[in-house]
Amino acid sequence: MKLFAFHSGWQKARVMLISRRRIFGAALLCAALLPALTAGAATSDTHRTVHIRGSTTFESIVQSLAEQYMRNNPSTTVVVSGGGTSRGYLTLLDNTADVAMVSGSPSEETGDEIARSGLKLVNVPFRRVAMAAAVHFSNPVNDLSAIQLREIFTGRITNWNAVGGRNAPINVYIGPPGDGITNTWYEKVLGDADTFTPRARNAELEQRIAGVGADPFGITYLATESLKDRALKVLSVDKVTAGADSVLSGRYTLTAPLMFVTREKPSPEVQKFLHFVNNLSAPISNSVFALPAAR
Amino acid sequence: MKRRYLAGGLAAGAAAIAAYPVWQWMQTRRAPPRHNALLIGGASAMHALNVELGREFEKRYGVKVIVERGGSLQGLLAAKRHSIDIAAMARDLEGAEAEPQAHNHLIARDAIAVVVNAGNPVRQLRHELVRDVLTGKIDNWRTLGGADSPIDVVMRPRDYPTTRFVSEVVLAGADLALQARFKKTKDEVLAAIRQNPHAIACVATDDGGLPADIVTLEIDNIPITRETVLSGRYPYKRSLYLMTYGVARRQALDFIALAESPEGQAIVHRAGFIPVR
Repeated sequence: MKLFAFHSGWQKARVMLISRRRIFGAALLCAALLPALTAGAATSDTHRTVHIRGSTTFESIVQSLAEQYMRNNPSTTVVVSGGGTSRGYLTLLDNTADVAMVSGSPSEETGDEIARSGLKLVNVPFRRVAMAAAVHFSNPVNDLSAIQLREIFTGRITNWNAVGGRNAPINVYIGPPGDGITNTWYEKVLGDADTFTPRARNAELEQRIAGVGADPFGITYLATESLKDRALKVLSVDKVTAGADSVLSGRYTLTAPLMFVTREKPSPEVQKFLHFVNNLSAPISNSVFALPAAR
Repeated sequence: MKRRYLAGGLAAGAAAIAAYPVWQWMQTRRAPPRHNALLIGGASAMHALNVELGREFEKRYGVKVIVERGGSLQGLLAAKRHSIDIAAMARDLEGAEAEPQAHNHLIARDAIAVVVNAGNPVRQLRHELVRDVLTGKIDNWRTLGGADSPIDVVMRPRDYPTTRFVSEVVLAGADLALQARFKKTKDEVLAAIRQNPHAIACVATDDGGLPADIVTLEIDNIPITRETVLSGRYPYKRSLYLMTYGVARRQALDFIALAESPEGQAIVHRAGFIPVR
């Protein structure tokens, strides 16, 4: 008798479990349908938002632009984050940002990823910055030729005395592969056939600046825009110093583009923001330059 | 003889009764109830927020949400192993963490205001000076262009999110001043600032809004406003992300969509953070 009671109770539990499962299944089905129904509403709710991610070189410029835009359009939200040029491209790929700010090509890995995805991207060129090699202030070298720069960063010249400096090894500091300025420097100074010296120290911009600032034999490259009130000496290239005159006249050619990149058919708010930045007339800083006039 | 059987039977019965809860426990182990639940782990700072979002998610989708803490890095590693669905990260991905498979959804910004009494003439400080005041290296307002009087540092207790944020972002791991006073609630901290013209404190702020009689200091000449926090120019801010790794479950994407929706962003605001949509 007792055994039977136990058995039937157990069966009851089983029945309950099954019906519970059914309810759960129905709930799951609803859960699957809900987002499909609300998807349209969600996009129209978020159209006042612009999320921008990417280049650290470009970041402080875009931060000021974002604040200006939000002050002019109080109901909008413009959020800016860094992470580097490649991260900017990746966020377009996985749709975690609306706009990438970039200062060069993405890393090879990211470039391949974009090609595989078939995603079409739209480039909105904005300004350009000058790139230059930078050394410790105690370094007697003030100028390097384009060829000497290439030989140093590929590791074929390894001693400062080969370029008119002291008899000391050259310590090369470079950025990570996802860094836009690094990729632009690589394309313009080294060229496709060469690679950075394997002995180069790899570090983010802030650490590179700190590293060379503490290393009398160090050398790195950067956008001169990134060097505001920091203690590194910027070298001229073939006796031409980076500046508004030399860049705009075309005598100084080591420049990197600052570009906004979006997916095809960006939201109206993104278009509005890009329209705003394209129509700025005030100068941004004395180390950010207009694009060469279209011919 | 009979008695021995009886004793044996009783012993077997007792053993069975004792084994029953063990058997039950084994059943639950074999078919974990969290089987369909959504697992979120990571930053302690985002725990309360994710619990609130989880409550709303359960109501809408009927899927249980389990939120665990343990730190951003632990969350990231667990998400990479796919032992949780979403990592809550209170910082950006760094260096090699920024893989293409890491999908980082920004859901909020978090900011700390440095505040003083309205009678204090100091209105702005450089970051290095704020750090030195909080660590106790600078202990008199005279050094900062104020009156000749000791600085009264008021903080929430060390294990509170606000104070942890200060240790990470402002102090970069350095210790708080020994003479710092601790107050449990934000209101108590603000009361201490009102009472003492020589006090300084750090408080979390949802969108730069604090009572009018509390003065917020500019840091490196940047005021704390909604605009400077969203642009990222204000230095004492951080981004809060929900991160998925590789291919995410449908429910995980629904949870993120909820966090990004107007209702989710209202929850972000109520949790004391700055909405980003």
